[in-house]
Amino acid sequence: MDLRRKIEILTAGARYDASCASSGSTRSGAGGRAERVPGCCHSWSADGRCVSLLKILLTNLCVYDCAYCVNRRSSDCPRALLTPDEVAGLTMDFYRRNYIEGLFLSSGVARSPDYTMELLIAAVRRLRVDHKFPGYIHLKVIPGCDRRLVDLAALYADRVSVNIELPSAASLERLAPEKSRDGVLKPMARLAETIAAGKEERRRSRNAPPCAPGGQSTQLIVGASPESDLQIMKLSQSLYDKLGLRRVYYSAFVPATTDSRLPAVKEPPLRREHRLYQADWLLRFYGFTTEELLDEKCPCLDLTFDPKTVWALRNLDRFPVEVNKAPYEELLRVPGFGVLTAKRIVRARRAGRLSLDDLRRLGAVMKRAVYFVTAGGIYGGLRRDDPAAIRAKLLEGPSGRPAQPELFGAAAETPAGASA
Amino acid sequence: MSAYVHDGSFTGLVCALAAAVSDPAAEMADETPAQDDLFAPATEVKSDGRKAADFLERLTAVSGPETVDNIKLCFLSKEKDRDSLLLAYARRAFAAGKGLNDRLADPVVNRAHRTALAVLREAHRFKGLLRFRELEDGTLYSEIEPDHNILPLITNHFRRRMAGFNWILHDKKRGLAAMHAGGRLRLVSALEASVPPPSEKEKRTASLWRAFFDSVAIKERLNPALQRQFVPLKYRKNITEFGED
Repeated sequence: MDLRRKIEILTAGARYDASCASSGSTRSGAGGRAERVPGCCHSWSADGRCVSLLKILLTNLCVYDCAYCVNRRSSDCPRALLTPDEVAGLTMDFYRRNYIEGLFLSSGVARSPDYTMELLIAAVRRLRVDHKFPGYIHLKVIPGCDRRLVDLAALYADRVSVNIELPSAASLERLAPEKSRDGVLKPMARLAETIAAGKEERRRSRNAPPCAPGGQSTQLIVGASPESDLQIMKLSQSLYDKLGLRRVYYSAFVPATTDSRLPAVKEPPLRREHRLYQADWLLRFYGFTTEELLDEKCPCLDLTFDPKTVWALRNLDRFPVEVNKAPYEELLRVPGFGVLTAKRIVRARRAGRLSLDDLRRLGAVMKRAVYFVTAGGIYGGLRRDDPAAIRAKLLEGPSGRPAQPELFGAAAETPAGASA
Repeated sequence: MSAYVHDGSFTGLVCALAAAVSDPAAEMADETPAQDDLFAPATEVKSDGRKAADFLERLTAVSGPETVDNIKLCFLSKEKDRDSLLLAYARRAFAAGKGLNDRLADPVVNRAHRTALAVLREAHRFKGLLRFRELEDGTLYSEIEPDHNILPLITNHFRRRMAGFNWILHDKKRGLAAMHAGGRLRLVSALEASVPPPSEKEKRTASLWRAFFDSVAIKERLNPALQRQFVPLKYRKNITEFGED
């Protein structure tokens, strides 16, 4: 099979994995020192998702038959396999031309988890050792592989990840009977340990080898199983808090396969995915907790309003906030203020009192913020105590017509604050 | 009233600012060369490295280093009234002193900061969007046409990333180029436009990249409006994956 065809097949098999990451270390190698530019995206594909890595499978052969997966054993898609040389050669060619920041290598499970993991490691070893590749490597760890292979993965890669795939053990059991929750969580725990130990080593000696300096991430599929957003966000929060994950990615279930165990959906739940990312951002950058956003009574994120606005409408007693006095943490919680806006407000008010007009100049989205702030005691909204009236106003466009829905979708990297 | 004209260099601009800032009736002649203007006779300011350095030092002493950083970034911007903006900014610096750059709500300070940020953002964007192609002799060649003059801001990034290679960054809009050969970097201000043909391998590599790029998009979630937001059409003609085989 020619290389072009292989690329098409193995990219099609890898494209459902979300990733957009270049963080962490600096590596020296042939041709240069790669200094990671945070958030350096090289391109955006036609679905609006960022492309910063050559995201590809080593093979789409798979012994498993997971219901949701395009590469499952029973699928009659064309199969292909790349050699470590092909992976390394392509990565080097693309990297030199500044097409990419690095490689994202995943794989179907060929023969066994250990066998596959060894192939993956051979490919990245070829890159790091033979080609002295200084760029970024994100390597998938195959659930159920040996812990020594997990350690090797962390040695060569900048970021490692094990996909949790489904938000509960019951769903995993039902849709991916050959994978076990344990097989996923064990390597994650092992990675958390290895990464922490590696960091400690580096603290003691600058010459210690880097150990997955970009940390670990994971991904779960949204909409293929019945878990609520509350369950999903609780899971994310514990992954961040307990295992120190850098990122949890949410992937709207794309009904690329038909299986009686899967829900009959026509379209991927993109808006739900977007809301989960916004909520995730609120946890990581805005000081929110899951319990503030969701509870047993309302276990699902609102599809009409972003989670910060929903929270604010439910907690109107905490508003309006006086922008000339409120601490930074409270400014962050105002709908229409992002991190940058909140920082600018804190800085600008040192120089003088701010008015509502000033806020717009500082980057606030006033059509939302106006209901939740005062500036010098002046309130610009309607009724400050009537959530229904504010909701109705927020739904209106500039001319009193219903507002256009936002450009949502694959904006995986859109900070909640930029749009919330 | 007098409009100050300079030679277009950064030193020239700073000298003009230094001359104009202490003359309350002075203006900057934006968009040099200035036309004959009956009402604002032009005053030509000579470039003088020493004077420029002194003025920047004074600005730093009065209002902090951030002011000078912003002036340097704004200098690279494409804004038509850039010189007037910077004169107003410099005047504010001497009036407001240390607190100058906290005054983000002040229209002039706000615009100076925003303009600087716009330049930085485009530079950041091009670290990703810029593409090299391999020429016959192995040199990696890149053409860019950025809105702002970002070449000086991205050169160091590629100097580190591509230390072992020979490469050229060519801003076609401004006729500027950064050339890296044998580990040495040269800045060229009028690059001859004859570029050698691409290497034998180049066509195939670019084609494989396009195959990857087309395949990585999920058809069920096509969103060209979102894609356009991140990769504006104006940049696409120099980006490999938006070209044809």
